[in-house]
Amino acid sequence: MNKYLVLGGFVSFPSRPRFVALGRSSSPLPCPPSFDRESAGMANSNLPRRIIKETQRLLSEPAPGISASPSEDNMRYFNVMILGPSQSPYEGGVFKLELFLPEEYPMAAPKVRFLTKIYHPNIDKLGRICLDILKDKWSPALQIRTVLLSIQALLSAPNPDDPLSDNIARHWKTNEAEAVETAKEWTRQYATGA
Amino acid sequence: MTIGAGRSSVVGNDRRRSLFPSLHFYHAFISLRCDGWSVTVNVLTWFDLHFAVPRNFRLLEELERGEKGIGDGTVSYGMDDGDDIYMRSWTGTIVGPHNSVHEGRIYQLKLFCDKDYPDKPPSVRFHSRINLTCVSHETGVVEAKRFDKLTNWQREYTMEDILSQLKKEMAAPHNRKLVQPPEGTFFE
Repeated sequence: MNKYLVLGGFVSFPSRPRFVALGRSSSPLPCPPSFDRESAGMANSNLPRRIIKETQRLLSEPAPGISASPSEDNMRYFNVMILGPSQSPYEGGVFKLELFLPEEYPMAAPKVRFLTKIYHPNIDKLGRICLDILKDKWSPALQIRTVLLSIQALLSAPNPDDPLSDNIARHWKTNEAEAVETAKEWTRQYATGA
Repeated sequence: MTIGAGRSSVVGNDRRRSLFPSLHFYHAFISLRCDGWSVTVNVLTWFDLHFAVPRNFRLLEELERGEKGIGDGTVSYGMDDGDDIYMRSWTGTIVGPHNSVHEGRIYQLKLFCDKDYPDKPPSVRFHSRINLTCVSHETGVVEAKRFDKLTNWQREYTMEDILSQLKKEMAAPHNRKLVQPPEGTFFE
């Protein structure tokens, strides 16, 4: 018989180097993730200042057609929505994505993928995105915001010459009108929340 | 009564450590698991709760590693349904190790990663029939209480770790000479 006993308490272990000191050493409980100054001492001292700044700005001045908010239980993990750009086959669609800032960020690119199914030559069945700035063209000067804007731009300008999904790319190159129709159909079917 | 420190034991090797070299205190959630006479203590740190690689990105990493091919190829795995964006169902393969009755046999397994993976281990069962002390004779399920990697699961463990450990298990003294079901038969 298995029993799980979860002791909700917190225990300090001396002499095991593990992570950042607490803002107030006597504090018995961690603060919930929050971005106001009062709790910043505890909840945010572990997060690089750059990530805090970026998050604040994403929340206070979102880019048009893009929303990104950190998950409650992991401040490096963002829930993202991108609206399909007008004049594109994805117009009218709301696309869900997930984004994670690896420990090396900003020296390494964020990890992003679509959770909503999408018919696009540079996005595969698992929502993985073929975009140079997410791979070899990443630069620490780029940000979460620029990454999401680039993904939005990729929806406006599919690039079948550098495909991730071979079948979709072939479709795009041999019969673009029909491929665009399929993309519109998938948008209606999977991205309109209907 | 034995007390094993679960999660805390790997902390020393963790590369996350380098981020915070000079700090000597951390806070942790403690969970106790009582199983007969043994008690397992799992330490889930605040770090794990708020910074760990989320499930989906972790599974994408495992998928990429599996696609590249692991080591000598005697252990491998891949996704069952390429359309499942939640990457739940996997098939693993183990080539039986040398110097055991399993040598030359190829075993198929099914692994299922639920929503709480990798905080909780995947469920693992053999598809190919096999006689191992940690595997149910009726269902092929790898019984967690008889398989250390599942009993003392840690978030850092991967499907590859499970498969490699099972391969080692096949060559262990208590398993390597067991009489085996005919090759090419499967659990229902």
